[in-house]
Amino acid sequence: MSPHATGAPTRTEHATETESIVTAGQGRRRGEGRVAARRARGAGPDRSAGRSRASTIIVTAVLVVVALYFLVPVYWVVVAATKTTGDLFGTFGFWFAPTFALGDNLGQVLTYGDGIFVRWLGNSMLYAGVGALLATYFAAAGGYALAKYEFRGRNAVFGTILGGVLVPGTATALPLFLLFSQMGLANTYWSVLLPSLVSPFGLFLCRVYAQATVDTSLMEAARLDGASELRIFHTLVLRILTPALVTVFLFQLVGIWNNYFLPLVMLSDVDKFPVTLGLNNWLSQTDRLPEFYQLTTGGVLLSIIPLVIAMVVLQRFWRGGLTEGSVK
Amino acid sequence: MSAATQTRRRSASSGATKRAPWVLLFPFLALFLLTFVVPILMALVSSFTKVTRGGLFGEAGVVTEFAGLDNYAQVVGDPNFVASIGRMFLFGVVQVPVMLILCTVLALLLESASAKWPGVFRAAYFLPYGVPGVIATILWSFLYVPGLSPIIDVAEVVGVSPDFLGANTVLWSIANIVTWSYTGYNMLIVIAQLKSIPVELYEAAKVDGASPLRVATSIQLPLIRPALLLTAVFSIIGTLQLFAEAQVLQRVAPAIDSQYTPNLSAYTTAFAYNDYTVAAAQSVLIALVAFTLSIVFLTITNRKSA
Amino acid sequence: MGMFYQPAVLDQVGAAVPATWDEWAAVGAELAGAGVLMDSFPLADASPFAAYATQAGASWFTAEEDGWVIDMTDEATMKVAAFFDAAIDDGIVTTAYGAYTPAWFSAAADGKIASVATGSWGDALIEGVSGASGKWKVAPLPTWDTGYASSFLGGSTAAILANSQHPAEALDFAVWMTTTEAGVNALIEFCGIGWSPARDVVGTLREKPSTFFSGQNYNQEVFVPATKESSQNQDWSWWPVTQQSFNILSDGFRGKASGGTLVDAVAQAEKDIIAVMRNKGLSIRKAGA
Repeated sequence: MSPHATGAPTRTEHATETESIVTAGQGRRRGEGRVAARRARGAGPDRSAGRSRASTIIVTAVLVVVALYFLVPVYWVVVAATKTTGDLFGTFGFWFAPTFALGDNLGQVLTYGDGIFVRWLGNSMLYAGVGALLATYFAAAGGYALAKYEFRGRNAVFGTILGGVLVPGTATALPLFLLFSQMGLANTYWSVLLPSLVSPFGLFLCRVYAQATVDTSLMEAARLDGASELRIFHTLVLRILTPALVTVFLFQLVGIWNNYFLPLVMLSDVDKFPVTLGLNNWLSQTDRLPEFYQLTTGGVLLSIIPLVIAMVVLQRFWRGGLTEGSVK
Repeated sequence: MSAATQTRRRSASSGATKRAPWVLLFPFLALFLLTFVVPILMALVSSFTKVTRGGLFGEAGVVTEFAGLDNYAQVVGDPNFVASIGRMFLFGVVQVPVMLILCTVLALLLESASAKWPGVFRAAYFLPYGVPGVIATILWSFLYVPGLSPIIDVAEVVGVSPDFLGANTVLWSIANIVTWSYTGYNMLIVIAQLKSIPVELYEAAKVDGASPLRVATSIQLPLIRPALLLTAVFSIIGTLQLFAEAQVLQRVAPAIDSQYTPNLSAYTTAFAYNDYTVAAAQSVLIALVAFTLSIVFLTITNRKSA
Repeated sequence: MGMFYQPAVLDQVGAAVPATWDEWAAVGAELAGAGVLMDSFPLADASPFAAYATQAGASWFTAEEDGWVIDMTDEATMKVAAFFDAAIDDGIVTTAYGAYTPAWFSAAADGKIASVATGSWGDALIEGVSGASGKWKVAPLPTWDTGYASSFLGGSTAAILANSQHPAEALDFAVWMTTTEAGVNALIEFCGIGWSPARDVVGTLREKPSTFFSGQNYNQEVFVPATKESSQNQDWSWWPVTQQSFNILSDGFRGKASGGTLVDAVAQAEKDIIAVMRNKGLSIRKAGA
């Protein structure tokens, strides 16, 4: 189940909300690594209760086996992308074939259909990049407003958004398609972008964060200095909210990139597809044109390389980003 | 500055201050109304209407009329749709605990003193999260199909012939894809919470001579419980949204019918059967079930942590 | 439709190419003994079953003055259903996958599947089987004791939509594309498919023998005769909610894996399809009712 950019966030997004709420209460900052910490600070956190050589070997062995499970499909697709369709069916999946066709395959992927694959990648980046950016901005504005202003209807607004969070995005996609059809927006870039700009989870995260980190006295002081409310928001508050903004942005980015149901329902022009829809489109043609097997495996490889790199970078960064929010 | 000017200034600015939250909320609310509220209302209205066609294929007239609860009766009486909801419950009850246990164990192992190269393993485990569900399913579908799958080839060497796509096993093959995709992510959540456990607790445990297992069960597990509970809640709700995995696997798994998951059912009803009003009723029911589950679990978890 | 087969696989058991479905079943039984399948029977796709029933003389839907008349439990259909029930039970066909799926390609390349009964467009797909050149030939579709020489599976349509801005020109193009030598040749070259609805145009490429198919001029030998009026069931009529009907049939067929039968599935499907059409407001009745 792909985390949906619209509608109820999956457990992934809400889990982060919990985590940030929980860590916000803790005032402590953990060291980057046990050994490094100890070396750097001499007396760092010492959780060495019960360490022994045997346990290290066992634990590492388990971790390696588990790592194999997670990496096997990635390894498979690297190998598969080097094979021709005939070899894909004829040779052993975990090792290479005599003919090394990676260059050919990748070349075909990039040029097939006048470079439609590159266009799909561009579309994904448009939907995810622009969508996540604007969604973060709107969520920050809304979250800040709900957190730091007293106004009539505040609870009603909050309650409505809460209700929206609990409704799965897939339940709204079909009627949204009908609505957009009537508005003439179906099968346009807007039909995928507009729903992606709404991140109820992002609004919650920003609200929580704003309540914890934005001082009302700071706002008052700025008002006395003559700053307008919007100016306060843009110049002061956004800067304070940055760690939360980064989190919301990254989640919305991944969520929109992975979203399949919304573009599936909205788009019928192949040149507007994001790369997820495009690759599935290729795969669905394999029963009429077997050369699509090569195209699909090559396309999958090309599409996951940037994602894999992003994830490896993300996971190191994100740990720091979220715990930083706990330091007040 | 005179008192009058000050007052004028304050009222002018308090007017702006009063408007400010609405100005700030406006883009979000406008889009939220457009993409959430209006569609849900439309779905509700649509689910109470019926479109009938006269003649052989509608050439004698198309009539849209109020249908009362007819659509809902049809949906609830559709064995395939009911089976799809039941299937998702079964899936959730098995897959979610398995995944949570796995991610907790991995988190504890990685954070234990005995783990080498934790950063490398963390990256390896988190990597699948970046692969979109559709792509992950395409990948795994190649690994499930006999004749293409090296896993089956290897298993046959030892005499085992696994059937990943059979009627009884395909649901768990889907569960495997979901677990593969999200365990690493959930593990990072748990790790983040583990890292926020105060050092003193560990030092006290060391002074008391506690074994690592004792440390895990008495200190770590209780303190990560909130994160696990909420993750569980939303995993279960996410289960109701399962669509891409089933649709992509349908090509190679004859056991997956067009109504295998609730969302697939709604999608098929709308776009293959052209029954938008019935699909709307299905969507409303799915939303209701998800909503109820959320409320129920949130109440339980709030009561437990209160 | 025709039957594409691998002569070498049939030779394994010394079998001749079957001309009737009963012969097909006999050959299949011998092959099953040697661990080879005769064909596949996809539980998830009811259209081959419909094609076989058409060939046997069935006509599931008729449009009358007062609405649709449905008859899926006639003798022809029941005979076909019982036949394939037995074929599945005897292991002559597999239900694990359908034609042209990844598992099928693999089995075909390994010589584990002897034949595939399919439409004329199957040639392009069989050419995708790894190492298959020179290993396949084409024979006419086996026949039932009553019914027709051949049937049809799949197909495509050129349609002009109601909101077309140039309907007359579009019609001209559609006619050119599907009935002239140049148009059909272009379809074959650029789309890989396209058996023309015109009586005397099959496309230049299809008039020659094929190296892939062991030098056989299969289009002229097998498919041109299959397109004759007398070879096809002219009474067959399609109906609204076809997609849903086939899904209903497939759902019933899936019960075969857990002890049901195709015969029962068809009877139940008929009832369900009547309910679906009535829900849409269309008039339908069972034949003889």
